[in-house]
Amino acid sequence: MTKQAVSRHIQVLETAGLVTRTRDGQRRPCNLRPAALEELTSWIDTYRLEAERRFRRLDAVLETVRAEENRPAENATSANTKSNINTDNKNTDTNKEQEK
Amino acid sequence: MTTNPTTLTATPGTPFADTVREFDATPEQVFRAQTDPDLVAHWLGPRKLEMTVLEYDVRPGGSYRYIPRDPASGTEYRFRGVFHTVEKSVLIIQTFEWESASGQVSLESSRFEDLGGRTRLIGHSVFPSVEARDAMVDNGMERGIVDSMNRLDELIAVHAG
Repeated sequence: MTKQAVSRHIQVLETAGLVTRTRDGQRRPCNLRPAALEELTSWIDTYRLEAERRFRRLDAVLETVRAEENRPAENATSANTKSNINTDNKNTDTNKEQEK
Repeated sequence: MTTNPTTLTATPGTPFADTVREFDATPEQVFRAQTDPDLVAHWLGPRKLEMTVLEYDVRPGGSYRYIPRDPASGTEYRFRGVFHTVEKSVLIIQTFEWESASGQVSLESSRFEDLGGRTRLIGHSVFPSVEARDAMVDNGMERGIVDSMNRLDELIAVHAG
């Protein structure tokens, strides 16, 4: 790797706030900011968790959509979809009970 | 039951957030679950909040507005936006705004990739700034921590059972 390439990589890290650079004559020492990394990890954890929960609920909805489409046409009403998803809400209530 | 993993990419110093998730359903089914207001109410918005979908008009230029409400405190969270591009079972591009952070509008796209009976959903969010992206999580942080505890409960329940 060339010196210029290293410098460019460090510049990206600096822009992201992950390292800070000082000047010491000809030397440019880099300091890692572990706190910034921690902030980022916690951000990713939280955001991913939010997305994950949303997608799992979408999974549950899709399960009822698939079940509804597989059923004979006369039974495939939206009322069925709703009653199935209500079962899912009951599960959520059960979870609430467990937390108490 | 195994759950499909969610991949999140958020490069530092950029205002982007990218998610990739697969679903055991066709693009048509995933599209329907994402556009039928009755179905949307069952998965969109934070868990355990009562969801009111006031409007969900999925067509180019159509609006949406939904209000998750915390039944314990009565606190309401209002979200709204406009659909820009709607290609059935292929692509949705929309704006997204939390009304409490008025003016911080992000642009979101959802691409539906057909995997032959299964679907890969590719989400790309563009926030107005890096700060706005980071604040998105700060606002929900407390709830997120509570949820992670609940999730831990669920994991324990699964392993105990």
